Amino acid sequence: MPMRVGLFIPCYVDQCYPHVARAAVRVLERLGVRCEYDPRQTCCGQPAYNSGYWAEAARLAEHFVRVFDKYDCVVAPGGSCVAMVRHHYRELLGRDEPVTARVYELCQFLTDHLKVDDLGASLSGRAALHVPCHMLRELDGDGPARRLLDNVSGLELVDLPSDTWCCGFGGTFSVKFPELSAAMARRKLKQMEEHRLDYVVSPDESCLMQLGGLARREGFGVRPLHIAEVLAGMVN
Amino acid sequence: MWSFEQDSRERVADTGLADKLHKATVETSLKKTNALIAKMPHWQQLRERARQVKLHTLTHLDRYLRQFVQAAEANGATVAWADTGADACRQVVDIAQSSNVKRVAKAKSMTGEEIEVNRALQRAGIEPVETDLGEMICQLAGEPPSHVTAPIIQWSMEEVARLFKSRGIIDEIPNGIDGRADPAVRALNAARLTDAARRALREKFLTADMGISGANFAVAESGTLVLVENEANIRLSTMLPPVHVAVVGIDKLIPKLADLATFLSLLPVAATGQQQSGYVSLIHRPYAKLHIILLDNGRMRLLADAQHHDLLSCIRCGACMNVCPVYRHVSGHGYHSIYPGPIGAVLTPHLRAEEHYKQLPFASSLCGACAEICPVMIPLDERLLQWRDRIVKAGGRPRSEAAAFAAWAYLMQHPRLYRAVRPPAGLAHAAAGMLGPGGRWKATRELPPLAAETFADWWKKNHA
Amino acid sequence: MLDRKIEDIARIVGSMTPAAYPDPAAFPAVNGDLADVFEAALNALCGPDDDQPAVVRVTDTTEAIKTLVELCADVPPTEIIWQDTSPGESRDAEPVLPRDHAIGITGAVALIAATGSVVLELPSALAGRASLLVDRHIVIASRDQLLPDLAALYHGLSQRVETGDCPPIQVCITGCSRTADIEKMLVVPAHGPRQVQVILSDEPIDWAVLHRGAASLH
Ligand code: SF4
Repeated sequence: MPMRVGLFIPCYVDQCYPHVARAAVRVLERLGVRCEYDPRQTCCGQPAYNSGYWAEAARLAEHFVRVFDKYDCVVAPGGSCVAMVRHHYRELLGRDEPVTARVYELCQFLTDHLKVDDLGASLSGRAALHVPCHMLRELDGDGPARRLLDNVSGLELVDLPSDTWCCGFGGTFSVKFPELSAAMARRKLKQMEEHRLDYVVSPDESCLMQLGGLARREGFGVRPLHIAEVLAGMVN
Repeated sequence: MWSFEQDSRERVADTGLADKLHKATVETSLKKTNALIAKMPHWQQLRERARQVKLHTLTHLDRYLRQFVQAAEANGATVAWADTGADACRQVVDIAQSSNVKRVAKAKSMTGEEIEVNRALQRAGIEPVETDLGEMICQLAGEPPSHVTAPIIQWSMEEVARLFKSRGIIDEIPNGIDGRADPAVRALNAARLTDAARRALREKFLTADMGISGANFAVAESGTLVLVENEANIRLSTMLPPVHVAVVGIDKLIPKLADLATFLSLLPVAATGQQQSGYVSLIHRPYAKLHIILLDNGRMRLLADAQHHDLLSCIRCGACMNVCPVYRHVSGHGYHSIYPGPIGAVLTPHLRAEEHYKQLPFASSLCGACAEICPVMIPLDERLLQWRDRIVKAGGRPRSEAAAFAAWAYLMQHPRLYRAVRPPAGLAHAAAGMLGPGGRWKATRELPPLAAETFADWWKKNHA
Repeated sequence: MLDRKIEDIARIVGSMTPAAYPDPAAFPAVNGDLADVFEAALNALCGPDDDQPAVVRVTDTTEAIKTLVELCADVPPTEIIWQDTSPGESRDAEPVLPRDHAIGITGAVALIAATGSVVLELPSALAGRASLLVDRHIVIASRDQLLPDLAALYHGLSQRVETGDCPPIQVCITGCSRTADIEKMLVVPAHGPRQVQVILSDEPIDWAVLHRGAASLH
């Protein structure tokens, strides 16, 4: 029986950044991975969980398990949501659900599961890699994303001290403390601009929503790109 | 009620503050800390052991306290108990008055700050003299320390010079102290200011009738107090005056002197990026009259908290502050607690009853940098999250927020409804821009447009 | 009061899952000649304007005396203080306030190679002056006092608890007195010595001979 791979598209990607999800599909299909997408999927529950609404988050965790349990593998273009499912569902559900260990962040799936480092993509310019905090500290760190980007021809990855700093999004933190949250993003963007970077590439669109939202408001010239867009060659 | 949000807005508006904090942490302490950790293959193993020693001690605290008290008394110390900060202060003042003390040399101590012992001494007509350079500056300026190991972290040299001039510690403000001046000249001026402080304090040290300290560790097997420092002011404060009072939180206990090998290999590295601190003093059989006051002040209640008692393993290194992006924008003063940063955000609501401290667990983006660095492996981000859960369960958040999350969760559990209610993109966007969280988002950033076609719709068209 | 509180704590602890006391940590072996390791570590801790070497290696007591006299050249004996190691010394024995000296001379009970630390055991508070209220602290020690690391020091100390011979006060001194409170700029000294110098002898020091030989410094 062939392996069933389910796509998990985070709710805000579905609603606001569908091109990121389409890019992820393109990358996977090009590698011969046939994905399924169950439209009953919604949100992993992280916003509620991080805000202290654990009862609500637990209900969404149950929903997630119901939707995704049928797959052998679940792939998501969003590191933060994957970390949520892998590392926090246990506490919410009060039990181990085997499916949570079968959920992969896109880069991790490519490098560790499919053993692919080089997608043959190209993009010219200088970029910083911003790995979301939960992916950096709870998943596989920045290794998989770095390996993939190192093989993008024409792309120069520049290491900055600010690479590991939080972008300031933090879910509802970003609306509870808008000025503080923006200041955290600004400090990162400033450093990128000082190093004359063209792009900030991330395996998580929520960080890019934050960095990009401030860049647009304040006129920073650094362009946010999801790693799936880069790997799929869908940067225009 | 003080509001973290409003307060942080003002602090963020002062970009110089964050610049100074980043310089002091990211560009200085953390650089050194990380360089040392990279050369320590046993770093993780030491952290794990430190965590275990602390947990073992906490879960056998009665035994170790008994052992400590017995040993310390056998060594000639007088050991007493204080339920609260006020209680501890009263005892300190009593000891001072019964020994006819006029002047107290104070070694830097977070416990001393916690109980506000200086205020109590002053009220009793006794002069407390802070002897750590940073703490001395805080005392002169009448402000609390802003960091557990770097009290004046956000002070510029220029500000220190101005303060010293106004207090007659220096006659003239030297040239070349502002940020643009030649680094070599600035280094010289830093030395000049330090020297002036040293002179001003020397006589006070020598004439103090009592020294007050905390302790970094209290060793049960031998009744030993362990004090860690770089300046030598703690040695001066605790060894010269005839009376020494140590106010020691019951969380400072460790079982054995041998455990110091573990803790002293972690503490200086995490705190200041030094392989070893300048002075580690072990006070075992004192020659001064030594009074040890064991302080509860909320710690017993925390010990009984099955989920959070590991917060008592904190060794006050301050590393979680250095790595915290929130701390680095608002400073310690932004937390309105003597314990700031991630540990302060989780510890303060346990130690202090005031409702407004319940804001602190929300003042974090949960990036987890704190838990990653903490030398005793306290999962600070997890503790922050658990506090949020507790506060929500206790009804501590606005009703509107609770209602919004309930409605949102309902929607997200009903995929059909969720897919159906998606309003036309433009309209939803406009609404989000005006109301609720979107409005607060838009206060500082652009909101992404809702896509004309969701991924789900695209998939249905192209793959179904 | 204390007993009652400890009883209360016992009740709290009774409902906790006890955590085990862990095995000792494994510290990486300190490779190389301990004297060399020590010298390198202490040199790395030198203050920004140290005018003299941190470690001077000598073969025996005679050479140590010679070096000590050289290091103290131009300093009058009244500005030199020796650590009195007699156990009877107490604060009452000193009628006048302690004052600062240019140089303090002490022995050591151990040297820690990995960290460049000097360990003193002080029989009394005032015995600490020679390593505290001075501009320059000169330590005279020998190879046989070298320990590899802090683990050796503190494990050894734990063993002494059992035999009841813990020193009243032990200070582990690593480098000079320093502060970085102002803008994290390293400043030397803070309240203690500006410099720590170690005369490290291959042979154990004969203190009676040393005191006689360095009589001019008393
Ligand atoms: S919580 Fe950990 S990192 Fe923070 S001060 Fe305490 S010991 Fe240091």
